[in-house]
Amino acid sequence: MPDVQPLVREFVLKLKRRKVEGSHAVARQTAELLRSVVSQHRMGSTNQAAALADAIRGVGEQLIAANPIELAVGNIVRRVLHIIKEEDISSTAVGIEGLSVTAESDDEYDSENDDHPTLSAAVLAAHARNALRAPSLQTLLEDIPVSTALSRSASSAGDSDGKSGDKSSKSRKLKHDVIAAIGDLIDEIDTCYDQISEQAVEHIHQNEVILTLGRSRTVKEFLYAAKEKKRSFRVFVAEGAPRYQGHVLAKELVEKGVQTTVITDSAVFAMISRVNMVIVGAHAIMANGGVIAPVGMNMVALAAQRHAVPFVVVAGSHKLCPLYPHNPEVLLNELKSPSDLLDFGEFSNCMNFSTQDGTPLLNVVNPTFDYVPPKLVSLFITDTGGHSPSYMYRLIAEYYSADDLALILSISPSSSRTKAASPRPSPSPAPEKEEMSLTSFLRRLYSKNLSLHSGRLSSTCFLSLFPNFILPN
Amino acid sequence: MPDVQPLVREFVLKLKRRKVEGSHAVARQTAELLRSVVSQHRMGSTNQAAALADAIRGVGEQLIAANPIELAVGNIVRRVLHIIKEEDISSTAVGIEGLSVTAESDDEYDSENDDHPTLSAAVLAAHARNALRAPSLQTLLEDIPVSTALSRSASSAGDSDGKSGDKSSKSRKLKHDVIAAIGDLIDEIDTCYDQISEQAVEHIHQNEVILTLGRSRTVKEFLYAAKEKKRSFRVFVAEGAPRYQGHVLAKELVEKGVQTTVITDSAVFAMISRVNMVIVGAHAIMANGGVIAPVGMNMVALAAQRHAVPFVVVAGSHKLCPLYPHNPEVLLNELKSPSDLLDFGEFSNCMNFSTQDGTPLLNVVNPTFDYVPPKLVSLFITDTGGHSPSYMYRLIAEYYSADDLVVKRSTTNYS
Repeated sequence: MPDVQPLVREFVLKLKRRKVEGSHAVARQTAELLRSVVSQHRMGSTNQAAALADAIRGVGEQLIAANPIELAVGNIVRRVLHIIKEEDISSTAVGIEGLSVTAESDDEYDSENDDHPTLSAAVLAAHARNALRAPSLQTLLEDIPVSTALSRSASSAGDSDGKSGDKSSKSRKLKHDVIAAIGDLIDEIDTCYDQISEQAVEHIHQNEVILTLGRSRTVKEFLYAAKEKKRSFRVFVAEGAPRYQGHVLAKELVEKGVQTTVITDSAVFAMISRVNMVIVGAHAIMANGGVIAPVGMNMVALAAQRHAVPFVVVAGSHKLCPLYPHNPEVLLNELKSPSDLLDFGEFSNCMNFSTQDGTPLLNVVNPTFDYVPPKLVSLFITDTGGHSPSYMYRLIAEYYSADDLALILSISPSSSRTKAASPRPSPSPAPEKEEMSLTSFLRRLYSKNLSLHSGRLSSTCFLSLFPNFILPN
Repeated sequence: MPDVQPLVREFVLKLKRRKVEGSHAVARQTAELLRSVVSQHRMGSTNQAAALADAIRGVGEQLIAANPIELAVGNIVRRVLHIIKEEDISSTAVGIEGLSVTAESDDEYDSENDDHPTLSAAVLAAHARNALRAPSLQTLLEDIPVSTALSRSASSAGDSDGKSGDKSSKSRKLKHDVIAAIGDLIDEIDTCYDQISEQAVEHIHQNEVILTLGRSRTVKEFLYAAKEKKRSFRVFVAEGAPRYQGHVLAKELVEKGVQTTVITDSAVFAMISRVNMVIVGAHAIMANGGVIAPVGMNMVALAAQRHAVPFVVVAGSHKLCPLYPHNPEVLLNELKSPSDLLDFGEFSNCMNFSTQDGTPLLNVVNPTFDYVPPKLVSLFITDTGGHSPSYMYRLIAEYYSADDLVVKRSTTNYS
């Protein structure tokens, strides 16, 4: 697929250089890029869905490796893979449905049931005829027999067009459906602010005191919506060092006429007894309901728990990540330059010049994110509504497929994949490949981060800082 | 002492019939009665302090037995006993002080140090000469040797009047001092509301939301004082079933212009997230800092702890009891009539008339008090200031003697 390679390379470069800021912009551009990839993909005659998914995986792997901390990239890639699977199932099922009489209701159609890995192909075909369930992992690995079985059942049931004609129309339809679904995804990403803000009136009542930290666009729109509905509330904005984005949010809120007070991060515990609700944004929401949020958020969550203040996290569904924090692919944090905290001039005094390498005597740590455990979160407000942390796994089952979680498997073309896959039982290849590529992933990651950040500082001092922190779990 | 017996009997009857309501009134009347007892007590020639204390103990035993749940009675009795001891020590020490040159400062005079029970009499006399400390338990039991030792030392030091003259002036002085001190105690009881209310401004600031339960006069005066100092606050009053005294308090607060909201007891947990402070009164404060409070208070304390809301108890020092809740003398609760909750007509349906004794099938429990453990209390505000629960034992050491905890008349006969 040579047409999209320049686009992909350009986006990968942007991600590596952190030119794209914020999960929203990243998610949107990733979705648009993947839509271009799908539209320019040349559909083969067989296994279109699997081939398409493979192509997406190839691009996705590059994107994720470019900026591993930006989990929205991986989320969108997995959403698209899930879309491909869904559209494939629905188009196949529509074909079968038209051919056999079934009394099943439409509710079964939407249940993505990825947890029957031991279904044989024949049983699967029977199920697909009767219950329209999603195919299992085994089915994807053993593509040809299933589609053959399905097409055999299709032809055996009679009333079908020519096989090749049916396939080409199906392939065009698949691509079309996938592109339409990705378009829906992009719309969903765009409208997430509006959908979340609609719920503001249910949560913010009269005479409330709200606390937030830093500046989240979702929180800002949420508060705007409540203000427009004439709710009277005041906001304490914790400034959110070291970027002090809280100052920007405070100015914006004042322009809308919201009574705002800026406080330092350390003053949060002192003020929390007078606060009715804490509303914050997130960088990403993990599968267990844990939150990766801007640094300082864990402290706010602990203070809120101590004073029994509800801790509400607002986030679009593109931030919902199907991985768990203990998962090796997840980098929970990223360290930024110490220059945010200390000027280089001050820092240079603290170098130990007596030793030859000038090891710094003073270590400066500037993490970007904080991890807030799910037990500290009272409520998640997403574009689908309000949910408790223990419910997040259910949303993941709706949006993602279980077998798309490990995207760093080395991808081979589909023919060799089917050859390699058939003698092995389905669950085992994934973990082995995962372990093998994990070390290579770590090495790649480590070198990428070094090259990324050394440009801004004298590399000698920074390199010595780095090794302590960057290791993922 | 036949003169006071009618008075004592009358008061005992009032206590038994619960005609006297509230710790404040009970404490005041107990103190006045004991002052009469002291003034009408005929002082003997020796061991006046011990005999006087015994007389007080005799009366006190009757009073406490009349209404054991009213701990203020026992508190005042023990305060008076402590006063007698103090005055005795101070008058003796003054006598000794006048006779021997000592470089001790006056600070030592006030330290009631009851924790040296193993001092021998001779050592004690030496101490009393040098450090003016209170006598130990052993000293009180061995009265005659000590006073003899003291008077011997007094006479040996020379410069003293005739023994009997000295004793009678001392005895008159002792009685006088004790009566004066009990008068101070009564004043202290009377002015406890003012002294507590003075501290209101330090605790109630602007735009506060306060929660209280039932009706406590101390809380009422506390809130009045804050209102007069122009603090803006609103009050949630939990009605305090089954007596619903909260309604009365709410009316009184509204008359003073305080924005008040009456809520049911069950609504306390729902409202507590919007409350900045809980201020309540108490029936009694135990030595460990635990509080015996009107029923429903434990629930409020738990809700306050859950939402990290400060739980402040205001109480006069006459409510401070030197006993611990696990002490066998302490009755932590009293059950009142079920008629507060159910009318007798409704209740009679629930009698089991098939059995011969008509045992009720429905049990109704109507306790008067609740016990709030010290870990739920943030602050005690007494007339001496604000204290944490872990500090209450120190106040007890100031007001009471350790050997007065069991008020029982001794069997020894004094002349």
